[in-house]
Amino acid sequence: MGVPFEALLPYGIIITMFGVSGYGLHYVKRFANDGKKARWNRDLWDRQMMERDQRITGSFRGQSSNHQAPTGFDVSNPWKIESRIY
Amino acid sequence: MRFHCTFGVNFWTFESFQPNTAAMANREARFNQTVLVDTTPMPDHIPKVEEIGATSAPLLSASYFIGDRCKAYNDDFMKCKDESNGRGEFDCLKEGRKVTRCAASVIKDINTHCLDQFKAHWECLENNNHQLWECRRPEVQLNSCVFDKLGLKKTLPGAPEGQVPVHLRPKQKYAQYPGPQW
Amino acid sequence: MPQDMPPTGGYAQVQYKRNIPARGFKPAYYMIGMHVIMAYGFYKYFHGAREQRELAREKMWSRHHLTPLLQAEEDRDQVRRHYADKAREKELLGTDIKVYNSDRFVRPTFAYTPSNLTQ
Repeated sequence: MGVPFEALLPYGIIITMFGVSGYGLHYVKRFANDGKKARWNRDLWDRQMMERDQRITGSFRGQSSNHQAPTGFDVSNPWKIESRIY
Repeated sequence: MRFHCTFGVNFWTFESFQPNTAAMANREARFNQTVLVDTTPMPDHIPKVEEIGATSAPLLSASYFIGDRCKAYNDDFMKCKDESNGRGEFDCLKEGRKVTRCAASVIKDINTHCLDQFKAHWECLENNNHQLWECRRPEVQLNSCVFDKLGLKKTLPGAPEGQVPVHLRPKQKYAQYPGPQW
Repeated sequence: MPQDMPPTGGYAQVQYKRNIPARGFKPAYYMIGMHVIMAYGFYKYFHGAREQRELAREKMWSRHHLTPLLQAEEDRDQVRRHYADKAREKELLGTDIKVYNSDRFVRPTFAYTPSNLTQ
C-alpha cells in the first residue's frame, strides 16, 4: 500500500528548516570570522592574543606577519573598565 | 570625570598551566561597556623600540625559532623580572627591549627567507583553531627551510627519551586525517 | 467404596527439566573476549593519552617562548601609562605624590576617566 504524499510533506518541511538553520548558522559564523573557520575551545591566552590581533589588524581574526607593529600600536592598549559608584 | 575600575592584561599566563595568584586577583572585567585608552607617548628618557607587529598565528608558528635564537635574552628578562622584587616593570625595560628586538629579528629573517612556507603554516594554523597537529606538513617544510637558511631548529625540551618528538611523527593521532602527514 | 488409587504401574514422570540446547560459546570465552577488547581499548587509550601529553608539552613550550616578548610589550605599556599618570597628577596637583609607601610598581586598580567618551 502506497504512502499518501501528504504524509511526507511535514518531513520535507522539517528537513528544509533544519537545513536552513544549519547552513544559515554556518554562513553567519563564517561571516563573523572573516571567512575563516571559527575558533573554539579558546583559553585565556587565546582570548588575549585575539584582542592583541585586533589592535594590530583591526579584526579579531586578522593576521599579519610583519615584524614591525603599525604606527600607534604602542599607545593603543585598551583597559577594560567597570563603573564604580563609590 | 567618572570613577572606574580598570582591567588590563598584566600577566601573560595560561589558565591551564599555572594558577597564578596575581592573575586570580586580577579577575576579568565583566559587563564592561567602555575601555580606557591612554595615548600619551613614552617619555623621552626611555629609549624607543619598535613593537612586534606579528599576530597570534605567525607568532605561534615562529615561537620555537624565537625560543631558539632568543633564549638568552628571554631567560635574562624573566630572571630580571623574577629578581626585581616587584619593580620589574621599571628595572627590566632594557632586557625587555632586547627581547623584543631579538624576536623581531627572527620574524624579519623568516619573512625574508622562508615567506612562502611561513605563510602556508600560519594560515593553516589560523584555519585550524591554532592546533599544531593539524598542520604538520607545512610545519615540516617551514622547519627545514628555517634550518637551512637561518640555522634555527625546533626542539621540544623535556620530551621522553627514546621517542620521536611529537612534531616529527609522520602520523598524528588527533589530526583530521590521522595517517601519514607528508 | 474403594479409594482412588494410582494407576497400575504408577504415575508417569513429571517433566521438570528444561530440555533446551545450550547456545553459544562457553561463558569463559565471553570473559576472554571481553578482556581482549578491553585490553585493545586501554592500549589505544594509553597511546592516545601519551600523544596528548606531548601535544600539550609542545603547546606550552611555544607559549613559554612567546611569554617574554609579550610581557615586555605589556610592561612597556604599563610603564608608559604610569609616567603619563604621574605627569597628569603633577599638572593637576603641582607636586609629585606617592600613593603607596613602597617603590614597587603597582598598576592602578581605579582610575578616573574622561567625562566625554571619545569612542
